[in-house]
Amino acid sequence: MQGPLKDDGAAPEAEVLHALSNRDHKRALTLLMGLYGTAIYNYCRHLLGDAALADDVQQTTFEQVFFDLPSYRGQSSLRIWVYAIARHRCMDMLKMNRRREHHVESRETLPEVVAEELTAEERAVIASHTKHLARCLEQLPDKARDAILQRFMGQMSYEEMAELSGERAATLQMRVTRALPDLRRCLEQSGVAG
Amino acid sequence: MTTCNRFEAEGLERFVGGEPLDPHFESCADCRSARTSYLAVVRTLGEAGRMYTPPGDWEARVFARIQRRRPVRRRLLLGLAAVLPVAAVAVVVLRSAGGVQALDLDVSVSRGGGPAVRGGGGDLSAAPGDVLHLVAKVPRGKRGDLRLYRGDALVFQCLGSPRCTVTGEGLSADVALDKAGTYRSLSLAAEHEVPPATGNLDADYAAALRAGEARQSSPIEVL
Repeated sequence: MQGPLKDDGAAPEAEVLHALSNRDHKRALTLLMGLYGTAIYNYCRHLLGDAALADDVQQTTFEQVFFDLPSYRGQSSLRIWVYAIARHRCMDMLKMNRRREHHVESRETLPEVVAEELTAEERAVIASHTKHLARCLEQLPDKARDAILQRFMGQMSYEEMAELSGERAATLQMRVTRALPDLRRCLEQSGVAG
Repeated sequence: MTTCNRFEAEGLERFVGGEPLDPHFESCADCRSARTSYLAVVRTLGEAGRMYTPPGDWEARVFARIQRRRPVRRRLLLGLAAVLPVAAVAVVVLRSAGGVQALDLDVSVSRGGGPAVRGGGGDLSAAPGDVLHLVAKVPRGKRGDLRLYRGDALVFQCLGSPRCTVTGEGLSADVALDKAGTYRSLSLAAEHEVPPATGNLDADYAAALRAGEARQSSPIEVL
């Protein structure tokens, strides 16, 4: 199974590993935040469907990254390792919010910050699509949404997704295959895809 | 008129796997249309992945959180926390004198008498007989409590327990895990009185949020 085209981050991660070998954890964290901060925020933002919760999870994720860096042994790429921490935090948050709906009332208390490098026209189109996408993603089961986001937003191979979640690659591929038609139909009804 | 649905039936799994497709899917208009539609979905997902930028100060806030947490961790590691054992009193009112700004909760496990470990990249797990170390930092001037639940049921409350210690910055306790189950810890802080424990995690968490602030740990699986 092949992964989508992506920058595998090998060269920048080498710099992080160099900082780690010098026990410069602050530098390593700074580099990791620069490399994956925005991606993690977007992953959490779409998985949780909430800007304030995504901000909170991003904070706790990188805080934990810092304290766990001394125990990083290269068992997976740093990118997958950071994603794994974020995923655990997001899943916990999803469970907590399901258990207490009143907490969800605090949603959208932070202003939405849209990527600045896009033109105004691009932003308008993507914002419209993203709004529909968010609604359609919300209709998927948590695990299916997570798998779709990892695959197409995180640009991960199924092997990487398996490392991250502890599930079998084939199971994850099947999950994506089953969820994508639902997502397609929902987006088509919204006039986004099709 | 029937339409060909081979793309969803056979081609989609290869498509989502990034694998080469059968030539039929190029020559069949229905399948080509379906493929185009799925490509649009994938493109929308890719675009949405760069839609949001985190708030501008997020990196500084991460470092600030780390700075706030370091002193407590150092004391934990060295085992030199200036702790005062608290006798079994009905109610303990904590007025932290330290410089803690935000409520925080730190959980680690000692396995078989070994050193305390924290979850590396995920949830903590433990076995019956392990000891759970709970540390709550309570903002200056606020009252706090530290609780442990198995499932949704309260099994330990710091306030009033002889196993609870008051530190310069909050509360800590070591709790032996004697039964299998899913444990969660809760720290809470309030300006005036902390709400009494009802014995149920959801109810206690909700009451804590109404009264002030609360932090809940990730689940700790005891197998």
